[in-house]
Amino acid sequence: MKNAGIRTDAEYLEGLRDDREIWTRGARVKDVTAEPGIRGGTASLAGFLDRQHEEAYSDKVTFLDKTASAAPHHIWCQSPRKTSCSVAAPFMNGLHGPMGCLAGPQIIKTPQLWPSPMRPDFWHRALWDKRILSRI
Amino acid sequence: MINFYDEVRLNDKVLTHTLVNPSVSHAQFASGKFDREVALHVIKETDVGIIVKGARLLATLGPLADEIEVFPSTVLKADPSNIRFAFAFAIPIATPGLKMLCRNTYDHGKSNFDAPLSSRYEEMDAVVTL
Repeated sequence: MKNAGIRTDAEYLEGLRDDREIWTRGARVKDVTAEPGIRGGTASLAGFLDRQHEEAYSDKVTFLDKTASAAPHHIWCQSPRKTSCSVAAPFMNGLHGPMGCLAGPQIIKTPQLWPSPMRPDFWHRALWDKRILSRI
Repeated sequence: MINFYDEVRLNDKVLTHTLVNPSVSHAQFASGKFDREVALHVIKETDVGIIVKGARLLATLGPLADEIEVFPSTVLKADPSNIRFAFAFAIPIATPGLKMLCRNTYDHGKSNFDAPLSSRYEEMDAVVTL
């Protein structure tokens, strides 16, 4: 898959279903996207990647790279990246740092960008996110 | 490096990294040297690249990533014995021979309501062996 641009959640999860050798709790994992203890993290990360396609966020976290292809790319590939961080940090609660492009990890892991349960927007999202309500 | 950067950004890849050499002796680690019994090191150089063997700590997001970057977290001490530990590369997680040993999970299957953090943000760290 060359120059595919931003991926959907399904495309990301499908990419994890390869022959990777992961061990946890004394056994080899067959599918990290279905493994208890790991799948929650894959779902959250997939959710963020999918958010790139949402109209409300696409302008903040993606851009069209006219030099490479017509496909949109994540804005971490471009400077400034602040708008992307402002979307990613609350969504991921400051975790799942090394996602996206090379410049992603340290930015998302920067302490001042870490949301916390003390922040109202965290609880607003935690309580009203439809995906969360569906799993309670 | 530029080609790899383009490969990652153009295909929306998720990366992890593994940076720290495990140690068997605090004194050896403090002296800036490493043990080939445990630390990832070059065992052979060929015309097409290097062959490495050993372990690295600690790939955060490792099981959830597409590729892993392997490079030292700090500048290695300039010592002839460290040459075998001086390298950098990136490979897919599914590369044959790459194994990840996960730490214990914090996600114990509770709902998002009961465990709003661990149920959704378990990044999972892993020891990497090659």
